[in-house]
Amino acid sequence: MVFRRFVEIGRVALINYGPQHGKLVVIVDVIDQNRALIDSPDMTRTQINFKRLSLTDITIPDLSRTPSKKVLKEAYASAEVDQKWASSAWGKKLAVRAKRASLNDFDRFKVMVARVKRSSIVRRELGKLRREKA
Amino acid sequence: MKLWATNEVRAKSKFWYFLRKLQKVKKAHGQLLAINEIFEKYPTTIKNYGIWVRYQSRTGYHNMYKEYRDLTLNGAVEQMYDEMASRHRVRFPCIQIIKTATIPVSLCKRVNTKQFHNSKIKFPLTTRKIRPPSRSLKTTYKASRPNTFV
Repeated sequence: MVFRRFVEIGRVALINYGPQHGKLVVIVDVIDQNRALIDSPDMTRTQINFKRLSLTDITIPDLSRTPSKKVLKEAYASAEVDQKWASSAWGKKLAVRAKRASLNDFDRFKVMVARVKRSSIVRRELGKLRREKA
Repeated sequence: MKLWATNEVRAKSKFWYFLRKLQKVKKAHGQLLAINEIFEKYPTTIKNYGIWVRYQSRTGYHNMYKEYRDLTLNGAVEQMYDEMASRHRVRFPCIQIIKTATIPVSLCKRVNTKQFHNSKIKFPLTTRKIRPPSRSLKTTYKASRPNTFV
Protein backbone atom coordinates (compact mmCIF):
# COMPACT_ATOMS: atom_id res chain seq x y z
CA MET A 1 0.00 0.00 0.00
CA VAL A 2 2.04 2.93 -1.28
CA PHE A 3 0.80 6.47 -0.89
CA ARG A 4 1.48 8.64 -3.90
CA ARG A 5 -0.36 11.85 -3.13
CA PHE A 6 0.72 13.74 -0.03
CA VAL A 7 -0.55 16.76 1.78
CA GLU A 8 2.38 19.14 1.39
CA ILE A 9 2.96 22.80 0.77
CA GLY A 10 2.45 23.28 -2.94
CA ARG A 11 0.10 20.33 -3.47
CA VAL A 12 -2.78 21.19 -5.79
CA ALA A 13 -6.12 19.85 -4.65
CA LEU A 14 -9.69 19.87 -5.85
CA ILE A 15 -12.46 20.97 -3.49
CA ASN A 16 -15.04 18.20 -3.59
CA TYR A 17 -17.70 19.49 -1.20
CA GLY A 18 -19.30 22.74 -0.27
CA PRO A 19 -19.92 26.06 -2.00
CA GLN A 20 -16.53 26.03 -3.75
CA HIS A 21 -17.01 22.57 -5.18
CA GLY A 22 -14.90 21.95 -8.27
CA LYS A 23 -12.23 24.58 -7.66
CA LEU A 24 -8.52 23.87 -7.88
CA VAL A 25 -6.59 25.20 -4.91
CA VAL A 26 -3.06 25.05 -3.57
CA ILE A 27 -2.27 23.89 -0.04
CA VAL A 28 -0.07 26.64 1.37
CA ASP A 29 0.11 25.48 4.99
CA VAL A 30 -1.21 22.89 7.38
CA ILE A 31 -3.13 24.17 10.40
CA ASP A 32 -3.57 20.91 12.22
CA GLN A 33 -4.46 17.29 11.66
CA ASN A 34 -7.75 18.09 9.98
CA ARG A 35 -7.36 21.47 8.36
CA ALA A 36 -5.22 23.08 5.72
CA LEU A 37 -4.72 26.64 4.65
CA ILE A 38 -5.54 26.85 0.97
CA ASP A 39 -5.05 29.58 -1.58
CA SER A 40 -5.66 30.15 -5.24
CA PRO A 41 -4.95 33.08 -7.56
CA ASP A 42 -8.62 34.08 -7.61
CA MET A 43 -9.71 33.58 -4.01
CA THR A 44 -8.79 34.79 -0.52
CA ARG A 45 -6.67 32.48 1.60
CA THR A 46 -8.92 30.36 3.80
CA GLN A 47 -8.90 27.23 5.86
CA ILE A 48 -10.56 24.04 4.74
CA ASN A 49 -11.01 20.57 6.16
CA PHE A 50 -9.09 17.77 4.45
CA LYS A 51 -12.37 15.92 4.09
CA ARG A 52 -13.38 18.51 1.53
CA LEU A 53 -10.23 18.13 -0.52
CA SER A 54 -9.26 15.60 -3.18
CA LEU A 55 -5.51 15.66 -3.70
CA THR A 56 -4.28 15.70 -7.28
CA ASP A 57 -0.96 14.61 -8.76
CA ILE A 58 0.00 18.20 -9.50
CA THR A 59 2.39 19.99 -7.15
CA ILE A 60 3.99 23.38 -7.29
CA PRO A 61 7.62 22.61 -6.42
CA ASP A 62 9.66 24.75 -4.03
CA LEU A 63 6.76 26.69 -2.60
CA SER A 64 7.54 28.27 0.75
CA ARG A 65 5.07 28.22 3.66
CA THR A 66 2.19 30.70 3.19
CA PRO A 67 3.56 32.61 0.20
CA SER A 68 2.29 36.07 -0.61
CA LYS A 69 -0.40 36.36 -3.25
CA LYS A 70 2.09 37.71 -5.81
CA VAL A 71 4.51 34.84 -5.24
CA LEU A 72 1.68 32.32 -5.39
CA LYS A 73 0.35 33.70 -8.66
CA GLU A 74 3.80 33.55 -10.26
CA ALA A 75 4.46 30.04 -8.99
CA TYR A 76 1.00 28.89 -10.09
CA ALA A 77 1.59 30.24 -13.59
CA SER A 78 5.14 28.95 -13.94
CA ALA A 79 4.14 25.48 -12.76
CA GLU A 80 1.40 25.55 -15.44
CA VAL A 81 -1.14 24.08 -13.05
CA ASP A 82 -4.19 24.87 -15.17
CA GLN A 83 -2.64 23.36 -18.30
CA LYS A 84 -1.55 20.23 -16.45
CA TRP A 85 -5.05 19.90 -15.02
CA ALA A 86 -6.75 20.36 -18.38
CA SER A 87 -4.51 17.73 -19.99
CA SER A 88 -4.92 15.20 -17.17
CA ALA A 89 -7.47 12.40 -17.48
CA TRP A 90 -9.28 13.56 -14.36
CA GLY A 91 -9.44 17.14 -15.56
CA LYS A 92 -10.72 16.11 -18.97
CA LYS A 93 -13.41 13.93 -17.41
CA LEU A 94 -14.67 16.80 -15.29
CA ALA A 95 -14.60 19.13 -18.29
CA VAL A 96 -16.69 16.70 -20.34
CA ARG A 97 -19.14 16.37 -17.46
CA ALA A 98 -19.45 20.12 -17.19
CA LYS A 99 -19.93 20.48 -20.92
CA ARG A 100 -22.67 17.85 -20.96
CA ALA A 101 -24.48 19.55 -18.12
CA SER A 102 -24.38 22.90 -19.90
CA LEU A 103 -25.82 21.72 -23.24
CA ASN A 104 -29.07 23.24 -24.43
CA ASP A 105 -31.68 21.34 -26.42
CA PHE A 106 -30.18 22.22 -29.78
CA ASP A 107 -26.75 21.06 -28.63
CA ARG A 108 -28.23 17.79 -27.43
CA PHE A 109 -29.83 17.40 -30.87
CA LYS A 110 -26.48 18.00 -32.54
CA VAL A 111 -24.88 15.41 -30.26
CA MET A 112 -27.59 12.93 -31.16
CA VAL A 113 -27.07 13.53 -34.89
CA ALA A 114 -23.30 13.11 -34.51
CA ARG A 115 -23.69 9.87 -32.55
CA VAL A 116 -26.13 8.44 -35.10
CA LYS A 117 -23.73 9.37 -37.89
CA ARG A 118 -20.74 7.77 -36.13
CA SER A 119 -22.62 4.61 -35.28
CA SER A 120 -23.88 4.29 -38.89
CA ILE A 121 -20.28 4.43 -40.18
CA VAL A 122 -19.24 1.81 -37.63
CA ARG A 123 -22.13 -0.48 -38.48
CA ARG A 124 -21.52 -0.14 -42.20
CA GLU A 125 -17.94 -1.35 -41.70
CA LEU A 126 -19.18 -4.11 -39.41
CA GLY A 127 -21.63 -5.19 -42.08
CA LYS A 128 -18.86 -5.30 -44.66
CA LEU A 129 -16.73 -7.50 -42.40
CA ARG A 130 -19.67 -9.81 -41.78
CA ARG A 131 -20.36 -10.20 -45.52
CA GLU A 132 -16.68 -10.97 -46.19
CA LYS A 133 -16.74 -13.61 -43.48
CA ALA A 134 -19.88 -15.25 -44.77
CA MET B 1 -12.00 42.77 29.87
CA LYS B 2 -11.84 40.24 27.10
CA LEU B 3 -14.47 37.56 27.13
CA TRP B 4 -16.20 35.18 24.76
CA ALA B 5 -19.94 34.82 24.33
CA THR B 6 -22.32 33.88 21.57
CA ASN B 7 -24.16 37.20 21.59
CA GLU B 8 -24.02 40.66 23.14
CA VAL B 9 -26.54 39.92 25.86
CA ARG B 10 -24.60 36.95 27.14
CA ALA B 11 -21.39 38.94 26.85
CA LYS B 12 -22.74 41.66 29.13
CA SER B 13 -23.96 39.07 31.59
CA LYS B 14 -20.57 37.38 31.63
CA PHE B 15 -18.91 40.75 32.10
CA TRP B 16 -20.86 41.39 35.29
CA TYR B 17 -20.14 37.83 36.47
CA PHE B 18 -16.41 38.39 36.20
CA LEU B 19 -16.52 41.95 37.50
CA ARG B 20 -18.32 40.84 40.66
CA LYS B 21 -15.38 38.56 41.33
CA LEU B 22 -12.92 41.44 40.93
CA GLN B 23 -14.74 44.39 42.47
CA LYS B 24 -17.65 44.92 44.81
CA VAL B 25 -20.04 46.06 42.11
CA LYS B 26 -23.19 44.56 40.65
CA LYS B 27 -25.04 45.26 37.44
CA ALA B 28 -27.56 47.25 39.46
CA HIS B 29 -24.85 49.54 40.82
CA GLY B 30 -22.66 49.73 37.76
CA GLN B 31 -22.76 51.12 34.30
CA LEU B 32 -21.41 49.39 31.25
CA LEU B 33 -19.58 51.99 29.19
CA ALA B 34 -18.67 50.18 26.02
CA ILE B 35 -18.90 46.79 24.45
CA ASN B 36 -16.85 46.18 21.34
CA GLU B 37 -16.36 43.11 19.23
CA ILE B 38 -12.71 42.39 18.61
CA PHE B 39 -11.94 41.10 15.14
CA GLU B 40 -8.90 39.09 14.23
CA LYS B 41 -6.14 41.25 12.80
CA TYR B 42 -4.61 38.59 10.52
CA PRO B 43 -7.20 35.87 9.89
CA THR B 44 -5.14 34.27 7.13
CA THR B 45 -2.03 33.43 9.14
CA ILE B 46 -1.75 30.38 11.34
CA LYS B 47 -0.98 31.08 14.97
CA ASN B 48 -0.35 28.94 18.02
CA TYR B 49 -2.69 29.97 20.79
CA GLY B 50 -2.13 29.17 24.45
CA ILE B 51 -5.23 29.30 26.61
CA TRP B 52 -5.12 29.23 30.38
CA VAL B 53 -8.38 27.87 31.74
CA ARG B 54 -9.94 27.49 35.17
CA TYR B 55 -12.70 24.93 35.16
CA GLN B 56 -15.01 23.22 37.58
CA SER B 57 -14.99 19.46 37.51
CA ARG B 58 -17.22 17.16 39.52
CA THR B 59 -14.73 17.23 42.38
CA GLY B 60 -13.39 20.78 42.42
CA TYR B 61 -11.71 23.58 40.49
CA HIS B 62 -8.65 22.98 38.36
CA ASN B 63 -6.36 25.03 36.16
CA MET B 64 -5.28 23.99 32.74
CA TYR B 65 -3.06 25.25 29.99
CA LYS B 66 -4.07 24.24 26.47
CA GLU B 67 -2.54 24.93 23.11
CA TYR B 68 -4.31 25.21 19.79
CA ARG B 69 -3.30 25.98 16.27
CA ASP B 70 -5.80 28.18 14.51
CA LEU B 71 -6.22 31.21 12.32
CA THR B 72 -8.22 33.26 14.80
CA LEU B 73 -8.40 33.55 18.57
CA ASN B 74 -12.14 32.93 18.41
CA GLY B 75 -11.46 29.72 16.55
CA ALA B 76 -8.98 28.60 19.18
CA VAL B 77 -11.40 29.40 22.00
CA GLU B 78 -14.13 27.48 20.21
CA GLN B 79 -11.76 24.52 19.90
CA MET B 80 -11.02 24.80 23.61
CA TYR B 81 -14.68 24.70 24.58
CA ASP B 82 -15.30 21.73 22.31
CA GLU B 83 -12.29 19.88 23.68
CA MET B 84 -13.17 20.58 27.32
CA ALA B 85 -16.67 19.31 26.70
CA SER B 86 -15.51 16.15 24.99
CA ARG B 87 -12.45 15.27 27.05
CA HIS B 88 -13.54 16.43 30.49
CA ARG B 89 -17.32 16.75 30.17
CA VAL B 90 -17.05 20.38 31.26
CA ARG B 91 -19.67 22.71 29.85
CA PHE B 92 -19.49 26.39 29.01
CA PRO B 93 -20.72 27.80 32.33
CA CYS B 94 -18.06 25.91 34.26
CA ILE B 95 -15.14 27.26 32.26
CA GLN B 96 -13.35 30.53 32.93
CA ILE B 97 -10.70 31.73 30.52
CA ILE B 98 -7.91 33.21 32.61
CA LYS B 99 -5.64 34.26 29.80
CA THR B 100 -5.05 33.77 26.11
CA ALA B 101 -1.89 34.45 24.17
CA THR B 102 -0.29 33.81 20.81
CA ILE B 103 2.68 31.64 21.57
CA PRO B 104 5.82 31.87 19.47
CA VAL B 105 6.97 28.59 18.04
CA SER B 106 9.93 28.21 20.42
CA LEU B 107 7.74 28.41 23.50
CA CYS B 108 5.06 25.90 22.53
CA LYS B 109 4.78 23.10 25.03
CA ARG B 110 2.46 20.54 23.56
CA VAL B 111 3.76 17.89 21.19
CA ASN B 112 0.45 17.99 19.35
CA THR B 113 1.07 21.58 18.21
CA LYS B 114 4.82 21.18 17.83
CA GLN B 115 4.41 18.37 15.31
CA PHE B 116 3.06 20.91 12.81
CA HIS B 117 6.04 23.23 13.21
CA ASN B 118 7.71 21.84 10.14
CA SER B 119 8.13 23.94 7.03
CA LYS B 120 8.49 20.78 4.93
CA ILE B 121 5.47 19.07 6.37
CA LYS B 122 4.27 16.14 4.32
CA PHE B 123 1.83 13.36 5.09
CA PRO B 124 -0.65 11.25 3.15
CA LEU B 125 -4.37 11.19 3.74
CA THR B 126 -4.69 7.55 4.62
CA THR B 127 -8.42 6.94 4.30
CA ARG B 128 -10.85 8.70 2.06
CA LYS B 129 -14.60 8.76 2.35
CA ILE B 130 -16.16 9.40 -1.03
CA ARG B 131 -19.28 11.43 -0.50
CA PRO B 132 -21.70 13.24 -2.79
CA PRO B 133 -20.77 16.89 -3.30
CA SER B 134 -23.92 18.09 -1.59
CA ARG B 135 -26.47 16.71 0.86
CA SER B 136 -29.22 16.87 -1.74
CA LEU B 137 -27.41 14.24 -3.84
CA LYS B 138 -27.23 11.79 -0.95
CA THR B 139 -28.85 8.36 -1.59
CA THR B 140 -29.80 5.70 0.92
CA TYR B 141 -28.69 2.77 -1.20
CA LYS B 142 -25.57 2.40 -3.28
CA ALA B 143 -24.78 -0.11 -6.00
CA SER B 144 -21.32 -0.99 -4.74
CA ARG B 145 -19.41 -1.18 -1.48
CA PRO B 146 -17.24 1.84 -0.71
CA ASN B 147 -13.50 1.82 -1.24
CA THR B 148 -11.73 3.97 1.31
CA PHE B 149 -8.24 3.77 -0.16
CA VAL B 150 -7.14 7.30 -1.00
